[in-house]
Amino acid sequence: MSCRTERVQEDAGRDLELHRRLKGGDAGAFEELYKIYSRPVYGIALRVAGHDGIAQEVVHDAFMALWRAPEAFDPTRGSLRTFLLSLTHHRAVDAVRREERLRQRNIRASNLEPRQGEDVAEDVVEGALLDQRSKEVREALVTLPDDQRTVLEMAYFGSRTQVQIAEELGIPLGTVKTRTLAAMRKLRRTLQRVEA
Amino acid sequence: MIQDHDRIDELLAGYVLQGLEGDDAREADRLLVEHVPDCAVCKETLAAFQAVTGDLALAADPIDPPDLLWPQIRRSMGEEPVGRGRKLALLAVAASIVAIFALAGWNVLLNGRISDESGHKQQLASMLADMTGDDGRRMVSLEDPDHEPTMLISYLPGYPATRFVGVNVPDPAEGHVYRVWLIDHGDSTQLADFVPSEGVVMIESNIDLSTFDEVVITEEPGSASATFAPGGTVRWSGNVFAT
Repeated sequence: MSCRTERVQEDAGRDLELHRRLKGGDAGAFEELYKIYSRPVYGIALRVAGHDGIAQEVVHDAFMALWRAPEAFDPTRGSLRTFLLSLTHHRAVDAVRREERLRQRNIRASNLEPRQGEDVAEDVVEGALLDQRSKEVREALVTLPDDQRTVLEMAYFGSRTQVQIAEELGIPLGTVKTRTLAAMRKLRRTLQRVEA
Repeated sequence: MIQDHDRIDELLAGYVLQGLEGDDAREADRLLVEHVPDCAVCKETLAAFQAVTGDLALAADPIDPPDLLWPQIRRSMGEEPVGRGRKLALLAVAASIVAIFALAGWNVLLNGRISDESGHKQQLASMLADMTGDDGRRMVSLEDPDHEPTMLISYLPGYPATRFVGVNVPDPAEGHVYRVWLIDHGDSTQLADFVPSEGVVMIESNIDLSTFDEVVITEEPGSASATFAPGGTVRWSGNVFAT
């Protein structure tokens, strides 16, 4: 068994145990989960929301949702990490769209473009599985064709609907759908292969 | 069949990215209820795409949250999410719905489309059990203009999981449907159309109701399929945050 596989299993086992304690109302387990995941959770919230206040509200609400209803996480359907980050992203998109409706302004344009000249290896802190996975995800994104990565990032980090993406890029809606699916399939294959 | 699944995969990819709207969103909702739960291929695809969206979050730079955030969360942990008296009253409504439902039979119509009766039994039983459970769910009682609670909504703040159950719901006028609207700061989002079957309604939706202020159900002509704001007669309504 590889070192990486052992670490993945250790982290999954730790999260399952923390989740078990959380279901019993253990505040210590909740605090431990906050310490483990608050950085990536706040990172995605801020990336999507582009605003400190909104990001804090999103993180607050995401963690409180986990505290109030830990049963919503089903271990048979994926990892706690995936659940929490997906939940945070979902809430961040909702928050951004609500703000957009209220203020009719775009507060995240600067976050849409991929960072230029980025050296993903610089961001990796050795020994941390989360950071390792972060590096893998960024590398997987780089392997996508530009047109696929653009629609994916506009949707995921830019909170755009497919109709909005088609309008902004001036391409047919069907093309947006096709590129999105191709990107998701390729990421699925790449990330599954890496984790295996 | 392969082409069908390519089309479904397109919708699932857009769904997990929260990128769908209009007809695509409604089609995805329908698939998630009618097809995906019984299709091993689609269930695997959906789970894999959801895992990808979870991983994608790691592409953002991890950032230390402000120091004040954790104390705020700790304070919120001690707050009672729902007023106890109010919750008990809503549970009483839920209990009465369960009792009435036992007399109403098992003919349940979900968005006017589902036809599998045994599936309905399991779904409604599960929904009612969830509604009366104590897992952090909140409830909204929808009242008609005479303040009679006829429908009950159960939701988990922060989660895309909302359920509507109604009993003794009268049929709309011939050629009409009921339309569910979600209101957020005055903006309306059309959620679903339904027609009760023998007075029973069951709707399950992948929305987080806590992000909306109010739920309104109107009666609309069945042909009015592309309205953007409630135009028909308001039949039931309820404030989300009043719970």
